[in-house]
Amino acid sequence: MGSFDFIPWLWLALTLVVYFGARAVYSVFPRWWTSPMLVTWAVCSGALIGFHASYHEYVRGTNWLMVVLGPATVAFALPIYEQRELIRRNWRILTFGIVAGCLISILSAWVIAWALALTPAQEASLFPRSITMPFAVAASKNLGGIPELTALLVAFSGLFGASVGEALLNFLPLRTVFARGAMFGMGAHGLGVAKACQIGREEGAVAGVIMIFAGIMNVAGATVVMMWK
Amino acid sequence: MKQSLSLAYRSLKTAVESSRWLQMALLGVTWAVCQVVVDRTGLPLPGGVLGLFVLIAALLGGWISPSWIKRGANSLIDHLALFFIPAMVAFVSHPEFFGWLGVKFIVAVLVGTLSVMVGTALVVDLAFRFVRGMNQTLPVSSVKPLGRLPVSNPQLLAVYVKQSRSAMRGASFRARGLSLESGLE
Repeated sequence: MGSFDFIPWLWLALTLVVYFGARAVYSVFPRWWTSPMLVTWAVCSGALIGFHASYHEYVRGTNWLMVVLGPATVAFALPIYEQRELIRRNWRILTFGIVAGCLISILSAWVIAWALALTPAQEASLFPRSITMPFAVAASKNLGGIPELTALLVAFSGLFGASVGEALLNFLPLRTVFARGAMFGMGAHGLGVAKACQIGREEGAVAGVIMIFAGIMNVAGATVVMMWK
Repeated sequence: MKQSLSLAYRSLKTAVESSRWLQMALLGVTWAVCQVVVDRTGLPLPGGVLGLFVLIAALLGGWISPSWIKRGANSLIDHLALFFIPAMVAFVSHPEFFGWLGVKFIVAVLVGTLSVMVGTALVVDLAFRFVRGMNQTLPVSSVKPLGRLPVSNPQLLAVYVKQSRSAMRGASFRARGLSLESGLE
């Protein structure tokens, strides 16, 4: 091979082409299994396995995508600023929902890890699964988890939560936008917020606010745990 | 002199407000500066979270206008899924996931997500009823409760599903124009 190693750039091109193609498909045919995240992940993983390529090669072309996670976290300032009235008026119930949701999430991770006999590192990767990705990966690192495993768990929690949420609404006696929004924002983060926006404007706003603050709270909690250890 | 300065300021403002790439670069610079501050001072926070707080403070303080970052921030949030793909693909270098451990994690995701969603929703709903008892006004959902599915009657069930689907579609039109609306991750 020549001096210029073009294989990593091919992986980047594949990722971008599949991602934007999948977005176009999703905009006319929105189903949980046409979700751009799922399709891009499946195609890229399938191609890596099929060509017996190494992940190292893949990540050399695509690691700048992960660097953008930092600025994307900063970008969440805008939705918080835009929802400041909603937050100011209802901070009590929002705080309550976030704290309750985080406790349930941590408690359930603990019980599941015990029931499935997971190792401590796997358990630490499971804790932040209910929060949005940039925060989850940061929290997982602090807790001594495996960030890649957390990324997968977060992604599939979002997919599953968003697709099952509508059915849950039929069975649960929920009267308020706060309960509906909290359900999607806490359980299914990003994809859940998108779903909540389809159900109602207020539901979407509540879900978005809860998702972001749950993320911040979990990172803060994970940092405290890290310093304590 | 003063005139040319104000002209420069105005053209900069127009450039930033019209370009999502410049706005993303602005967010990137905010993050990079905060990351350096975190590394130097040993603050126990990721740089992104510090940047988030700094930017909220700047917006609330009126130091910068939301129109300076709006397009860039919405684009970044809109394409969040793309930025996780490399982390998600990393599982191919962990052969232990193809097997019993993978099944364990599927169970963990299903059980964990269901319990978080159901638990959070019920607790918040109970708390809301309690708070409303204390004479507070909170918005009640504009979507009317759908009630129980008529599972035993297939004909009725088909009508029911059709109705609730069209109700959802109507709701999705109303929800347009929200900043956090499409495929976050």
